[in-house]
Amino acid sequence: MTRGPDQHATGSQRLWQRFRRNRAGVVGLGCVLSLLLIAMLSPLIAGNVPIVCRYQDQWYAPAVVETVRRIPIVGRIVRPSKPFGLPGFDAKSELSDADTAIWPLIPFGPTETSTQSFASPSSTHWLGTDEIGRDIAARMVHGTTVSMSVGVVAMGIAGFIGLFIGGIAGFAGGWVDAVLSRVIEVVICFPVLFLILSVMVWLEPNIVNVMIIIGITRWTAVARFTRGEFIKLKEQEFVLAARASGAGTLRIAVRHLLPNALAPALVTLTFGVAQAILIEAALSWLGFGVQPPNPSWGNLLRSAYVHLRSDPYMVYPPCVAIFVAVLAYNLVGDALRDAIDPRTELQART
Amino acid sequence: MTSVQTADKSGRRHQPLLRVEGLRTEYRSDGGTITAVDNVTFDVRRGEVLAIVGESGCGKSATAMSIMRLISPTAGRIASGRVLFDRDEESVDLLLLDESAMRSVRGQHISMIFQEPMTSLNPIHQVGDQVAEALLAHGLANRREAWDRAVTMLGKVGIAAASERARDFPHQLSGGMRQRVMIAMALMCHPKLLIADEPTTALDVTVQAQILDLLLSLKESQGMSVMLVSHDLGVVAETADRVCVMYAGQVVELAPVRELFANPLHPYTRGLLESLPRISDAKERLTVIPGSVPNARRFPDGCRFHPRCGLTRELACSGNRPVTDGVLARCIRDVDGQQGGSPTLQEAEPEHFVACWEVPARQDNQPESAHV
Repeated sequence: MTRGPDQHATGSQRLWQRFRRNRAGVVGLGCVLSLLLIAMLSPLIAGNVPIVCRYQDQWYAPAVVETVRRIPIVGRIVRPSKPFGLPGFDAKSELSDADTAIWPLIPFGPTETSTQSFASPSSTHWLGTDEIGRDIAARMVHGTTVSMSVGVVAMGIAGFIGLFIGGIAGFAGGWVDAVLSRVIEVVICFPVLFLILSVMVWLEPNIVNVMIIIGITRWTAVARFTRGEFIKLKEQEFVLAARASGAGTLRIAVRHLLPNALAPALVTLTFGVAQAILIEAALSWLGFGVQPPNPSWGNLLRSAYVHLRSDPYMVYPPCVAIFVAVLAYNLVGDALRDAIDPRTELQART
Repeated sequence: MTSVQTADKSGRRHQPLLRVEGLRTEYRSDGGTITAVDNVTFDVRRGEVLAIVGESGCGKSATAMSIMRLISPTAGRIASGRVLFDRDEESVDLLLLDESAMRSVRGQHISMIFQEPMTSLNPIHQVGDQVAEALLAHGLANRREAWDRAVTMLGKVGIAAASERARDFPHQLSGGMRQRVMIAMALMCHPKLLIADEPTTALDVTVQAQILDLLLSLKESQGMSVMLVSHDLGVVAETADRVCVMYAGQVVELAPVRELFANPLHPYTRGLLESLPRISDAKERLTVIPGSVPNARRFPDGCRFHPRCGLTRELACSGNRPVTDGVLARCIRDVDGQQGGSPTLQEAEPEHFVACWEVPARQDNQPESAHV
């Protein structure tokens, strides 16, 4: 067995060894990581301020500052690099050719307009421009940030709720389980998109509300898996051994059951991210998500759809991006599920 | 015999560490309740190894679980009885403690190790962390101290390079090593009583001997008592000071180990000993006890062993005693012809207790009941 898991590897190492054998999963993981990287570094990839520049005898790194400032909470301590980013300050015209400047790969801001509307893909505008001359490639890059953060944050919320409710239901059993299971079933029965739409009517349509609403409606799968895991795990002998050594209920639930239940929850959450990306795109397409002029794959698709007859080139980028992202997350989820399932190894051996 | 009620400071040394009195544990099942442990009385003395033996399903593990109060409320309950434990020079009934007080007893005063070292360790935690956990759960040390003491304890249970092994995960260890880790876990807080539920059953024979030796030497060095639950008479003969034989949820015989092996009084114990293979024996087949353990849903009337008992059949054939269905009537019904209960444990020889109607009780200085 040259490719069998090493007996002396830790749990996560063994998981990776098994995951690696699934080629589609590895490709998916590559795509997911690339998308996450693009999402995190989008001002460095596409923007109308330079990454590093020398302006009026001073060094600036406006795009780097912008990247850092987008990190929630901690980013706030970094002050914006004036005068870059101030309204009315056009870095491109202010910086003369004599000034040193390293520009992002796509030197256009996501909301930066130009006179060239409906430009076909070219070497200047890789994916063309839209009706008011905004660069589609730049908007796609910044839309990635929206899709990825919606997917990850919404599933973070869903994972938290799901682990909590599923864990309590599975661990407590009895009437607590009966009540919580019915709650889960009721939430499953909601047609999610319509529920979200009706709630979004009351809420301000922005990215944070989209994250929250997806998070609090898409936790049921995680809850059910966690409940099942807890029911299975609490009968394990190591739980009995822990109780026999004096561990209390909370310690058993948090230290012994929860970490063992995380892997299946992670699989469900990975599939959930793909779902969340789709829901966000649908909401933005319908106009209840990210509001123009801020870009998202959904509203890019929407504006492309309006001009589908005359300028069909606009429709491909968001379609391909959504397709790749959803497929990649599903491939990763599949591979992760197979890697966790101990039966996979037996099949591989026989 | 010193009884618990009249114990004073001077008598305390002779007082048992643990005294189980009239313990009765019921499990719920589809067909009603099952009495897995029925009126079980025995004690564990300071520094001794008390073995509890019996076939599968005789209630020996249920007894151990009842003492620890680890029976899940959905599965069953302790219906009656007392479990008196000498906790910090004060006798307490474990069955009356509230859950948090019981939790502080578990692991700290009474520890337990289980049959399956493979599944008794959490697969995702390093073994050092799991050993240290007992201290942390009782708030006896901070993380650093607990880890250091866990490493020391792992060394004491015979794990080489303990500080490195402590960082291993359970799957990286062999079965014997895992059982050593379990023992280290159980002994972290220096308990006074260790309940070992079939500690060697899942291990290789060579490893079995090592683990038993380890248990005995730790018993000596830590000054604790061991309650060894086993179905293996070989293990019992080697390790126990006294033996308690259980059958169908009841104690049928209780005696010092030499006495029991030399002079078994209960027909069931005799059957068990005869069924052991002997090298000196040229017999091709092993002697067996006919029949099998009765269904716990419906134990036989009278003596629960009578359907399998050779003695009652033999005596029935002699023809001078009342007989019902081929066995002695006495084994099924009471003297007054009522549907019978089972015989109670009586002292037949000094320190030797047996629950059989055909074994006469000791006449002189007879204790009031089955007290040891």
